[in-house]
Amino acid sequence: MRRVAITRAAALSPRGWLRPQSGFAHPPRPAGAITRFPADDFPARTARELDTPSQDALASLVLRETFPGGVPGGYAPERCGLYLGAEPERVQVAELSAVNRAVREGLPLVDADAVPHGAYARRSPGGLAARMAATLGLSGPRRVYAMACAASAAAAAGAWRALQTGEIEAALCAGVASNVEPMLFAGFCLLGAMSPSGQCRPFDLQRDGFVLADGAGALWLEDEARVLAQGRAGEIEGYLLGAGESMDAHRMTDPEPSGAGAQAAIRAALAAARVAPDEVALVKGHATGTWRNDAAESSALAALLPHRPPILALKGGIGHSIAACGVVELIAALHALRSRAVEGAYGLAQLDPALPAPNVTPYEEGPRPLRPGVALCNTFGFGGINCALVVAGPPDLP
Amino acid sequence: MMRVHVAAVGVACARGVGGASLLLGDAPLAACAPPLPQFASLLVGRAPLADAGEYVPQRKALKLMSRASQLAIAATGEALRSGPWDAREEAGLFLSVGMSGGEIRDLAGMIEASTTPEGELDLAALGARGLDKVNPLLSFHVLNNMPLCHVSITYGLGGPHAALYGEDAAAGLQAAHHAAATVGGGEGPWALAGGAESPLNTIALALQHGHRAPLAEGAASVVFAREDHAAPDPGLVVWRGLVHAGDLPSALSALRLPPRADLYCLTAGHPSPAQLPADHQPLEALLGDTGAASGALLLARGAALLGQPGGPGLALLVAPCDGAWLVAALQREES
Repeated sequence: MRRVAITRAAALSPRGWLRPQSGFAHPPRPAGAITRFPADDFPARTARELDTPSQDALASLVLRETFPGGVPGGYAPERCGLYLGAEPERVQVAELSAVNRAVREGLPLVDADAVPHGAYARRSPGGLAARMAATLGLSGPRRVYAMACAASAAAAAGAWRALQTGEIEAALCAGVASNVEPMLFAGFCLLGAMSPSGQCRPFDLQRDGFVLADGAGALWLEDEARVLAQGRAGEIEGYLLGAGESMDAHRMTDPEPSGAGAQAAIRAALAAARVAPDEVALVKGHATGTWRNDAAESSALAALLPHRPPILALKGGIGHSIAACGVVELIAALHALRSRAVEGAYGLAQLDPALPAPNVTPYEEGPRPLRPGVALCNTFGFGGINCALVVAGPPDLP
Repeated sequence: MMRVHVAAVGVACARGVGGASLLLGDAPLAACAPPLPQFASLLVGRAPLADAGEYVPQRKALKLMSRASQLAIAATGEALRSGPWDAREEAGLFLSVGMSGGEIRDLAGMIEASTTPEGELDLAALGARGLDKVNPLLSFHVLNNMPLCHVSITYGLGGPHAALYGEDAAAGLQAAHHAAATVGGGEGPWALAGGAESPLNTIALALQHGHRAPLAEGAASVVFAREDHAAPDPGLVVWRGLVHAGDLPSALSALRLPPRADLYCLTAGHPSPAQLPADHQPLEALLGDTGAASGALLLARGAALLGQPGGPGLALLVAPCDGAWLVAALQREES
């Protein structure tokens, strides 16, 4: 079994740049009003926007920050894979309006000039992945995981497996999501998943949903043996020790309430990482602040981790970046392991007493110390898809 | 890694809804593609499936499903007809998915409520009035991972999974690779590899016409099972791997397969023809351009050809990838 080292990691979040060594650049603050389109009359009105015009721009920024000197290790380009969690950029309301007008007026749709030719293809995350690979000179396997909230965690799991089998020698694993646009926002409003109060409150008695956010993050994964052989031990930011996945096979609208699906993913990840449950010192929760997700997740954790490791619940402060959240929040977990401290959950005021005692405290109470061990990173997607990753800090931790 | 067999195949495409035998023969798409009333001038490949009602426990579940999800449900149902396929809670599911779309009539109320009397789009009105004019369940139609979730829920599949995005056959071949690696590596006794796409709706046709032709919908599901999980039938066809290559000799070399005379070369997505054998068989001639479903349908056709009595010994499935090819291999085992 290969031990997968993380030798580069950075993310751009609504709290600024995030790195394993330094954590978030800024403390959390309340979500702001949406600036990209008039949202005053939507059921939810806040978001956590980044000042980037597109997924391409976001990806370029993150690649520049993560790889200022190019990718390390001197690998043959064809031995380096790219595993991206991303969704297509949505069809614009204006394009839908043009199609609707053509239908209403009886115009031949296939000749309609109102929709730019190739409009679909330009929004493809496959094209984004190709441009990212070209930027870094990677020509190995390239896979795009379109799996909603679980996308970039699933991409990390895919990369971990490909490194285990020797299909590749190194991988870029990334999540890129420019989410705050009208159609996606409208879709989540229709599902009732977003917070009408404008503040995500993980595990709180008053929790009412998440706040949509932009975000992007990147990891460079390599076989530790190769890193050490090259004398680059000092570059190791942490390890991706294992991954596990499951599907609830329950209902489209809700997670399985006992957390059985989440438990299966967590058990599989711990087994893959060869880690005992009591070695988990930190849980990076998915913690969406939605009523049922927090209940299912805390039930799963209570069943599997009776020693109640502290939970890092980030979405109150950085929002929910959907396809990007798996990688972005994994980097925050690496920082927590490195700093031996876990910050409280921004937005949490009063823990829901109906939940099975999740070990999480309000942000205002300050960071809590963390004992040595590994972090379990949970990511759960809409429709009942679960991905758990096990990560460890760098080898030089005391 | 343990050897992985292709143990069952189900398809839903212009040639019908059923098992692998639908993909035998070489009658062109035009022979099985009735025109779509709205686009009578276009040759499009529509699957003869009104809906997936016969495959779901309750018809109300269909309200949450896009056409692509229903095709995936039907193809998977056909594949799983072959046996009990137990241990479903551990079974994996790996699908290629593409752009979603829908009928503009479902969104017309929202759009018109969001338009000024002068015909200008007003995004403020989208929030104020437009959202009240659209069925909330439509959100379940447009998320790209929904076919994966619907198949999981309908058939109780609970193991490892991925929804890989793509516009051509590469994503489907990668999904097959994922599934084979998972099963071969011991994660679950069997897994489904598949893909689904339906571009035959107003929105997708308007946005994609000219980009792909002839447009077609389709889905395929292929059961990969370990050799030691013999029930109901290990089958004759074995997965031999997936490689990047620029020509057939280098693909065979990378796959560690000797050149042989009884080799079929099946393509999808128009890989560079310069290095292809003259008798290669493009999937588009049979089915049209099925986009994200084409890799899975290519896999299903390969399995169908190899599984028939007197079939070829080896099928190379070739898709374009970065100016070169992605090549998967299926091999027939002589009993």
